[in-house]
Amino acid sequence: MATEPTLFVVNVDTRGLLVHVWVNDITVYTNAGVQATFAEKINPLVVPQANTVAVSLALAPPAPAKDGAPASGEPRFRITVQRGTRGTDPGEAGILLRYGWPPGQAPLAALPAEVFRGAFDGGLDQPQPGWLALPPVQAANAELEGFVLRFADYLRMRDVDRLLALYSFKFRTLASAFDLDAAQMASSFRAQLRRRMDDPAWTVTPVDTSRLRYTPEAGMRLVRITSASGGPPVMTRGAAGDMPFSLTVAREAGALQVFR
Amino acid sequence: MSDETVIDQIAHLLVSGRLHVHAQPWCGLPGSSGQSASTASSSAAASAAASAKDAEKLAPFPLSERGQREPAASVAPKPAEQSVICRLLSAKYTCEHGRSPQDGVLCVVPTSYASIGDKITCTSQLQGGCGKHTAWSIGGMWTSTATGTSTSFNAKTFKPAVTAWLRLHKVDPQTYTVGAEACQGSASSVEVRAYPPDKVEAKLDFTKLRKAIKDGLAVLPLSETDKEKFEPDFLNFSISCSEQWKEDQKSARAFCEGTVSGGADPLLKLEHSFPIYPLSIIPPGLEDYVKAGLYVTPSGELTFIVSWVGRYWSDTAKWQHDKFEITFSGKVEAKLSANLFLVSKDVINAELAGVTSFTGTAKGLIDDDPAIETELMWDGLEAVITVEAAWGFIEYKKEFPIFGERKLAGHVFHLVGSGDASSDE
Repeated sequence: MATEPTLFVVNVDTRGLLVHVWVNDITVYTNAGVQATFAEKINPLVVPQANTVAVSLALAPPAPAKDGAPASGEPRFRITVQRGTRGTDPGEAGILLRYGWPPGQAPLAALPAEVFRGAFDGGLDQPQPGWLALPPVQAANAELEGFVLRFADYLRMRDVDRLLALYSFKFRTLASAFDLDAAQMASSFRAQLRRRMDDPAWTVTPVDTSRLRYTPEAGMRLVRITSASGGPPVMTRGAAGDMPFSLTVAREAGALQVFR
Repeated sequence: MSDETVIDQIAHLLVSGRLHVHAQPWCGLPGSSGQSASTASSSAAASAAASAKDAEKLAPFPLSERGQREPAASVAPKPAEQSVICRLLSAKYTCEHGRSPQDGVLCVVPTSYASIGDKITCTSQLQGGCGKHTAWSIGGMWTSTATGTSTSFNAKTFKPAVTAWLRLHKVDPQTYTVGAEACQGSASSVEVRAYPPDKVEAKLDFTKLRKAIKDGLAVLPLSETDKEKFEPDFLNFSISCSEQWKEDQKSARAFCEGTVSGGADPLLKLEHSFPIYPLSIIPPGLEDYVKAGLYVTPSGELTFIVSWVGRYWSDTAKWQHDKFEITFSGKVEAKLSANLFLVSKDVINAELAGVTSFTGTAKGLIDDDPAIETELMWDGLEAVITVEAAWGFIEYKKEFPIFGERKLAGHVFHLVGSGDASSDE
């Protein structure tokens, strides 16, 4: 019986705040003021020893009034990083790092400011993750725009093979982080995409490259590409609902690749 | 001037203290025994001289040098029964606590059943004296009479049969009617109402409110087993109530004082996470990834405090609210979350935007029938779930309603009389 892999999970609980969370200088979560909970397995980002977690917060604009009554609830933010194994909730014992915005504090500045920077020990006896060895992206905007347009075109043309080629680095990163088989992952992804693309209502929202935003991360090794609103740059629609594609890219073997 | 008139005037002077007479046995004045009917005041020499002068004017026969009447052979003494008629000038009634009737009514509350009742003192002012008045008549629990310028009786009351919850304010008092009369004149009768001294105390548990809150929480997408786990979070709370009749010190009225106080702060405190249930509420496409590991976390507090003091005036049959403070505040928030250790291994991350609030409000109904009206409300819960599945290659974003906004049936808790609160249990 195979041993379940160790999981690192970041948990966020927020309300009424503009939120930006980084792990090792890589964006893992943003929120524009919506009350939400969020959790992510961050294994691909975790390094064997010291890992940093940074949090920026700002007061979100007031939520729209509901039935004439203003939305209630003071701003709230809590984050934990947990370590455990799949299938078992590690609970409090698994918490490696914890931070909470003090309740009742004065409103924050309008612009997000870093309010927390902490660290946790990965405690892993394994090599450094692949992204640490990446070179700086060093890409002009035109190259990044071309990458996004190409990505959208493959979706529009239902060209799964070419799309999968843009994900090869991600496959390897995830397979390493979660002890999975990269070929099996590619096969599963192909099946998922095919099912979506078989939908007659499948469409790809046109990309307005003039409104794309590029943010370097992880010491210039990655570039996070977003829409002007901070959301995913590529979106598809279908009977099963919207399907957004977030894109943080790296330069791997000389070409731009999807990292996450 | 007739003899009768002269006697009347002499009686008046005697009563007013302007005439000092050493009555002789033949005089026929009531109470005369050869001693001074009224002691002369040394400081009233001038008054005494004037009185003597008055008496001389009035006397049908000459006074001696000592001012004493000398029998005159030509004047026969008057028979006693024809010589004195009394007139009632006033009658006064005072309760044990010094209060007097107003508009012919005096409401009293004896100190306790152990006492013999509230002592009502009746005093009169007479002009003249026939020896048979003032005649007092006292009716009510029994009928009795008394004679004299003053009398008293005990306004008793008996323990009422208060069968309904907190209906002491509705009991009928024991009523007495007191009258006074003399040869001439009578006083208007006065009604004395004696209310019971009981203090009725009890505790109300407002079980209906507890049940309403429990029913409200039942809409959360949780298993029945998990819902039962809320029960220990309902802290014990009780409302103390009392009723007691009291005399109004500023008037002749009495009122029944009602008090209600108590509650719990917090009434309910929750901070638990439970798996979402039933799983069928998770829309197709997502159920393969998050059919396990999705949680509902109810958290928050509700507070319920009530403080009411009222006075029930029996003559108007209305409650006067001196204090009415109610706090039913706070909310229980229910949010959704995912446990990444428990969801499908294919899921990389999940964001759930969905929160709902369960709030309680209350207001006092200030009426003849004081009550508390409570309202419980859920705003709706719509889950917006975004899942990066297939190891983050595919993002699913789904919105699905778990339940809509709902106003739970309001409850009205009567503070006194109707029995709603007491029959709560």
